[in-house]
Amino acid sequence: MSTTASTQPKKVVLPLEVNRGNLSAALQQAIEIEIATIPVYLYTYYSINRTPSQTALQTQIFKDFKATQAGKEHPTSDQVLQEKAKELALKTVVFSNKSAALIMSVVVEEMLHMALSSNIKSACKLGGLPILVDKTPNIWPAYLPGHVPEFDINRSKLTLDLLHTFLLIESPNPFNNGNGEEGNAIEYTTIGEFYGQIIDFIKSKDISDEDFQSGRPQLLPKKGYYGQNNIDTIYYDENHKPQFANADDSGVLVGICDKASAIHAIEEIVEQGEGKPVEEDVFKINVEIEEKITASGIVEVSAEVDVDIEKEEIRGDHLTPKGEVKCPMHVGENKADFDDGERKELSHFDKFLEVYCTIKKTNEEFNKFLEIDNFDYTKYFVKDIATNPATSDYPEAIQKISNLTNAIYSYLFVMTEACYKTAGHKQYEIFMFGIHKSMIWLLDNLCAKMTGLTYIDPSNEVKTATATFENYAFSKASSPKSQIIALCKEAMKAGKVVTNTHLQRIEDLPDVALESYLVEKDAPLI
Amino acid sequence: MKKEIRNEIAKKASSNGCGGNSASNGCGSSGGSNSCVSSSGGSSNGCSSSSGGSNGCGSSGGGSNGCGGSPSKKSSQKDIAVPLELHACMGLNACKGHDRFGTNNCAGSGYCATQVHSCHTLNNCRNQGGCGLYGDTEEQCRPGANDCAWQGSCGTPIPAERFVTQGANQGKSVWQIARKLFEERMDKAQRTVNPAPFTYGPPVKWLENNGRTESCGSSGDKYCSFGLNNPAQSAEEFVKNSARHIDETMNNCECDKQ
Repeated sequence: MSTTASTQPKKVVLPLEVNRGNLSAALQQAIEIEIATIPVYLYTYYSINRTPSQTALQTQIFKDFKATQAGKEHPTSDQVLQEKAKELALKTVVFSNKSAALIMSVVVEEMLHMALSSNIKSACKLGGLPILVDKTPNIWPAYLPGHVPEFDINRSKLTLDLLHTFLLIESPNPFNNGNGEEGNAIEYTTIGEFYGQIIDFIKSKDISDEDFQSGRPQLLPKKGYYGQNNIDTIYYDENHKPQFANADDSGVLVGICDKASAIHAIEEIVEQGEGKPVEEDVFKINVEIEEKITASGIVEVSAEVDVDIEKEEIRGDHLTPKGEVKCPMHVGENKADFDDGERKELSHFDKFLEVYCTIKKTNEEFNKFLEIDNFDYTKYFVKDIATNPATSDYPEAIQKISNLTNAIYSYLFVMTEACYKTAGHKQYEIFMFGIHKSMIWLLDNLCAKMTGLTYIDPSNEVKTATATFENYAFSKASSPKSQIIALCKEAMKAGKVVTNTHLQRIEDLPDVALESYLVEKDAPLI
Repeated sequence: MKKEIRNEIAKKASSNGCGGNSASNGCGSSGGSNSCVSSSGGSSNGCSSSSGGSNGCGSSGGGSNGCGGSPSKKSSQKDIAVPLELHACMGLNACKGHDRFGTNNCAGSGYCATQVHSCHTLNNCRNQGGCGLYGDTEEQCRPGANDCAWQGSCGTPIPAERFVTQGANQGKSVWQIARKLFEERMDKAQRTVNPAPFTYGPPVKWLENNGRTESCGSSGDKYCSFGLNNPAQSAEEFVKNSARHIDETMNNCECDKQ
């Protein structure tokens, strides 16, 4: 299944149903849906400056505020502007870190979903080897394979438009933007609906528990492969107390051995994305109306009402049938907003909704305060990077670093796929020594460094580079690792970004072949 | 140069009476549990490293941490005769003279780690992993007590302010878990443990002033970089709160094992 743009006329076709004949393709489609989201979310993550300086922000914000007052008959006093600048600077240092932590917490769970779908495919006799290599979309804007309607997905810096796209991806509700799609993918209007079709088939009599006992390797729990939180999914509140974006009870790796475990794994994917189903049909939201005048003279309005609302209305409250976002008064107040039993972790949809609504409301607040109509909150913590760039857009020196970064990104999928070809110690070594090290130390390090690079484009404009998350086409003439080493040596010649330390770490990675049949029997992995 | 310094420190340790360096390296290995520096490769810690590494743990094959590499059979290779224990942080040394400066008096009283690495999976050997910040719940219960190379969940040294990010111990001090595990290990070996120079581990600011920085992650300074709080007061509240709950924390780790 491809997530490339279609140039053919669009038409709506009837959805295919999941059956024994296409279960393998449906599970592969699930894997590719999950993979398609990873570069998109990562790209946005690296556009965020997580740790802006509070002092520098306050100075910049005050300067910007002051500029809006020029020429006004009754300008707001400097004292009030300073107070608001201080308030916004503090809010920004917390929110920039928080928005990045929320996005990273979703990325962590998307990787989990890719593994859960792969476990099901690997365990299922009708499934087969999960194919993960070269499945990052090659053409941008990309589309979710099989989603009706289709919508553009860009690799973009954090903006309201982009967050709207994220909400469409994770939406628990169908929407109709007037587009259709053709193809032979299993069609769905929400990702939850897609997985629901697979669950329906697994629950049917057409497949048995024995069908999930292929004996093929899986990524299993309790092996140190997965942690819900890490230091990149946490942020600090204004009192510098750490806050954890993911909850411990929201889900982990699941070993698949029968129909029940397969269904459990799929339900975990859906609940993390869209929220855990609400058990009661009706529940209460307490909202109290209160007006408060702040020190800066702004009237803040909060509301409290006591109403009973149907589950469906709550879930549909945030995204209209046309796919427009409607910000709730209190994110997280609806039971369906959470993905865990203890209601500590927002679903992916609601994490993105919180970021979207915070930016939107902040824009509205400061447009009103400054009496302007173009306040853009994101300018204070989002880097100005291009939309959908390719490595070829960069000058030669940055291309070398970008090629290395993409090769390591692609090698992560090579190594993960290899984990489904081998079990035991060899799998453990690939995962712990290869995947973890590549993700945390190499890829993260290079992505962070790339967003600090600037270049002059052909129109003489200064641009900021960033990691492009493209598939790197490894040659089959030599091992991917040896090609990465060669790329690293080339990148080291391009400046001081890539160093001998990177090379040493790459040399420590496991040597995983692109095709498992190329591996010599008993050849040392490391 | 580093090797010369290390040997000098090791000489001091050999005459300190704090559990001398026997042929089996009794002092530094604390019951053989972290004998990464054993010279012959294929050692009991599963590190299977040979000599010549940048941190005395021994790497082979040209990598920086070479776990899994085959021991060289070249006769010209020298054994490390008097190895220095490599440990993850302040207060986790098993012997006299086995801290960063080689001047500590006895077990548990050492200043700072004798090996340093920056992040998850970069530890060269057994018991050299820091913890917290990355890794799963079980890993984060074993700071300074990991089984083998590359199994530590975070960098070393372990600042007093570093916290657990996973499981029931979320938000609790990593160093205090490491110290508790170290004390339990020493207790089994019937060794007296002296207090650490800082009761709750080395503060970030102390480490910075001594040339070592906090590692890992992009979410910012764990001590404080902004906000309305008093960073020193927050840090003190954090370590004291962790200390109050240390028994519960260790129990949580036992539960995770099951």
